[in-house]
Amino acid sequence: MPDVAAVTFEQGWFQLADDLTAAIQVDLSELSEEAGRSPEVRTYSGGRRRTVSRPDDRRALQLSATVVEREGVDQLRAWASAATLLLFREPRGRVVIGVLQNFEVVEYAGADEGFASISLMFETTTDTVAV
Amino acid sequence: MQITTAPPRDLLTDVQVRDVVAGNIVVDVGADLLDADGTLLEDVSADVVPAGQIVYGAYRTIHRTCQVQLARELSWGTVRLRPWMDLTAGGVTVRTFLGVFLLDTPVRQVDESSDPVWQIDGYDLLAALDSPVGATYQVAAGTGLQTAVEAAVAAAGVVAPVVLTEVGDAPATAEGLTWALRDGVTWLRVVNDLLDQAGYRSLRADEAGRFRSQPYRPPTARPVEWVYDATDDDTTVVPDAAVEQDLFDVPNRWVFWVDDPERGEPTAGSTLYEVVNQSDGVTSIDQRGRIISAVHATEAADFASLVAAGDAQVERDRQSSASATVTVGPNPLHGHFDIVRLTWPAAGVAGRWQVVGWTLPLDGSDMTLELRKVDA
Repeated sequence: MPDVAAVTFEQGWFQLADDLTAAIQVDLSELSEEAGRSPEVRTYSGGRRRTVSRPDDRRALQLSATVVEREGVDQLRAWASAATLLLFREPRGRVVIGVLQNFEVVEYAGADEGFASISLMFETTTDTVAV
Repeated sequence: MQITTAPPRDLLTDVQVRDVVAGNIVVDVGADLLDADGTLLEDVSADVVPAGQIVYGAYRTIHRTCQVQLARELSWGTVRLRPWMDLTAGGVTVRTFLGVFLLDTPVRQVDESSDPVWQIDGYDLLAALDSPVGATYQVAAGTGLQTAVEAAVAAAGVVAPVVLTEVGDAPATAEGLTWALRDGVTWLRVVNDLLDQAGYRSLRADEAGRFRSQPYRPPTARPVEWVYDATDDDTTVVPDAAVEQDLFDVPNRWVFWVDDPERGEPTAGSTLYEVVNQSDGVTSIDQRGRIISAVHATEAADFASLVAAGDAQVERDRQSSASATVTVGPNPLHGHFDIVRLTWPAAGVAGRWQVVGWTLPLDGSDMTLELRKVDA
């Protein structure tokens, strides 16, 4: 029996930022983060802290994933072309708000591995929030 | 203060706007290019360098000035620039216009390692009125205030809306007014004389490039427009301030009289108005133990105008007794003579203050406010 490379997929979900009723699940094979300048953390009276950042402080997530359903690929493609504001929930539990960019799809001939692999950049538009 | 829900924020609620200003914000700046009529020509935001500042001073002849850096050349003498600032938090963006500015000939900064940048000084539209009339100018008796002000603005060659709130049919002047050539008056002086006679505030140019004025109301009679509470969980007050109390020259007796030989000797109730602060506050005669008089000659058209102008001066003198400079998070909504409530027990500061100056950096840094105490 030939050796089989073991790949552990982690899952992420894309949702509309203003409608959380439905999510598209993707099986992540690669997820990396391109950090811009970190938002500045300012301290105000009473020790209150808040972040103040510039637009070019935004971060981008680079990800590759597998999508099981054709409908999921079609929906992601539509969101990417319309620059729709999305939530992305990544495996570590963070929720990131942003838009899809550089969306590329390779469809599989066989169905065992899912419908297609995708690669994209998810550019954040605001800071992340822990959930 | 700008109205929180005025365009371009008219799709937001007051609560949304205030939450964004206090939140974890992303700060963006840009600018629109307008023609000499105020018509939008082009969005030049891509060429705006996020540096420089907007500076406001309530008692300056030209209230707002800007220092902006642009990575392109413009027709400096003919166009107007309308910078804006976006604050974004929680997916909500609050856009605020920061004024409409006439541009001075800029300094071109040359650096061989990068594209050229023009450093521009800009002045709000009051600057267009701050030029000599160059002739004797008259306003006929019975001319309405709105008509008289619009006519002066048009005669100065400036195209901008004039918005006078609560203006009725009352004439700007009952007997007509004349500004002699030899006095070297400016159009701004003409307009402000007209407004002053009617008990209106001096003219200002608002954030969108409109000339505005409204009847004078003392700061004590105006509502609080923004609250800076250093004890609040969402405070944006920086724990660093300078607070000063200066009582030395504050009068406690004021005499206002009409300087017009044709109306005879000043007479109480007609051409003479006196205000005495006998016991109210630390600057009163009772507290200081002496009378400190201030005498002002005016050109008021009637006794009501004399009283209005006199009361306004009294308020200004009394509120000038305490001042503070504080730093807060960027709040581009600040406008003209804003009333704020400042609560800061650690600095011994509380109560209502009038904002008489502010500086808003365009790089997103915190801004400074110059305050005068409103409460006696």
